[in-house]
Amino acid sequence: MRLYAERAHVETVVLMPTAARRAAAEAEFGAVLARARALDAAAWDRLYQFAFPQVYRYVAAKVADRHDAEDLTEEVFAGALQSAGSLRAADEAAFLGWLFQIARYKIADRLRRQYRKPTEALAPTHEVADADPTPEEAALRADAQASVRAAVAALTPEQQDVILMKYVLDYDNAQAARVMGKSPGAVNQLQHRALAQLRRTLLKKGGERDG
Amino acid sequence: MDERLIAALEDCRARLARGEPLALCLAAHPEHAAELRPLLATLLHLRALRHEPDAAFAAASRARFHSRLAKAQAAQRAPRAARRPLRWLRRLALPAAAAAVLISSGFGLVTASADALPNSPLYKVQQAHEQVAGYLARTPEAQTAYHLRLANQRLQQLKYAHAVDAGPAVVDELTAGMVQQTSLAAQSWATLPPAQQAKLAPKVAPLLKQEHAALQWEAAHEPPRVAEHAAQREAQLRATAERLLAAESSAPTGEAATPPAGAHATPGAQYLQFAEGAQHTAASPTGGAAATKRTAAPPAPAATPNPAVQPSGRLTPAERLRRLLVERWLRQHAPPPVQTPHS
Repeated sequence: MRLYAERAHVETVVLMPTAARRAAAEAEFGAVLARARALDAAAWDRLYQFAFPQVYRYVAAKVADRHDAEDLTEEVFAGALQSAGSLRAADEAAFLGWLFQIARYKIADRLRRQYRKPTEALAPTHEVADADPTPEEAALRADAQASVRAAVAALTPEQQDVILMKYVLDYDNAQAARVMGKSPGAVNQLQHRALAQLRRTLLKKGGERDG
Repeated sequence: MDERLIAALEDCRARLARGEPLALCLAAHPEHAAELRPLLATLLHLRALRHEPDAAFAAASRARFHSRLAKAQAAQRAPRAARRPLRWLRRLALPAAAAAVLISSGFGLVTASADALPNSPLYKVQQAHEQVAGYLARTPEAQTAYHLRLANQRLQQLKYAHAVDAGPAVVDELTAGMVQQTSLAAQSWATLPPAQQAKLAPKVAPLLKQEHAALQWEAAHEPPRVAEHAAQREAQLRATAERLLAAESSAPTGEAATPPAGAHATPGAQYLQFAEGAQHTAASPTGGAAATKRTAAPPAPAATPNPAVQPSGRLTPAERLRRLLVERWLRQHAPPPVQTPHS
């Protein structure tokens, strides 16, 4: 009997065509999102575990301080809970797009407040002290991070998103396009322009430093 | 960046992610090596932005998230009134503020809008004010009076629009409003008891006559499109009068139905007699509205001075100029004469 049930499972799930499996997964995720709108705890737990690392990576790539990145990540999920009633996403990509939108708003808000009330940062970067054997190496690494972050910040918001999604979150073109609500062709264009601009900025900074 | 270069870049990115050295990636795409090198160097720089969440922070953050979620669920389950104390007071706040603004500034605006024509921004204010008045008129008698008042107002505005030559669009809109309000007034009037019908009858008949005169003037003097509309509305007005007549003849007899002494024939009958008379006059070869088309001053009630006519009876210079322009417009837009084979 058990053997029969296992075989049935293999037939229905494992041997299911890829497209059908994807459709089933999307439908299931859509159901989770629907329950999340009604503040269902299990649904939100699943969404949180799915999205937390990606939101953290997205935020940490944009802000210099690790504690700021942690605070902001929590604020993003708190904001998502508050706006659960207005959640319209029907799939993973749209849900992530929604969270990144909240993240962008929270980051801008934080930067605005810091600009109005500047405070001296105690830990200016995501220093990984354990990984850097000497303080000199840690300082060089922090400097490199600051340069790259500044170069990314000089891009347009859409270019920043493409760069972060592709090279920090490791999305492929199709995933990035779905999350951003754009066509893969448009994402390619954005990526090309962003990389060219980044290269120019980094070369210029390198030249200034060396010169 | 062409498609092949993008594909090569993607391939190299995947190879680097697997831990392959940069030289091997470039060797796999020799035709793009020169372009790939700086791009891949930029990608390697971007890896400096990758940070993974601290495990302890992730666990603590998840616990805090669940605590927030529990609070949100509790708030959702709480009764509405408990969630927002003095909710009724908040509900009153907006109307109170609106009333304050209206009291401080609104009445002046409403007064200023009383004479506004449809081409004026104040016309919207006037309409809003009228809608409020319509909402407050609850009884059939009040509704009849309300529609009569609006029909009268549209008539006066129409006369003013004719006088200042406000343009065909304005005239058309006002005419439509006038006839519509009259029709609504007739509908309400028909539902009234005979005593109240008799009370309002003296106001209905003269209104119908004045509207008829204004429509005839429009049919004769306005551009063809508006003139055509005016003719259609004249038919509507006649239908309204016939409805009134039907309501009058079906009214029960009795002391209430008896008109006050010296009052009148009923409004529908009065109007129809008047309209028939006007038609006969118009049809006669010696005069009437049709004979005086394009030359006569607009017929107006004796009580209201016609702004287009001077006290001496002559047309004002502005009116003469206006008619000249209308004539010219009509000549320009007249259909071409039919060509006969012998002409």
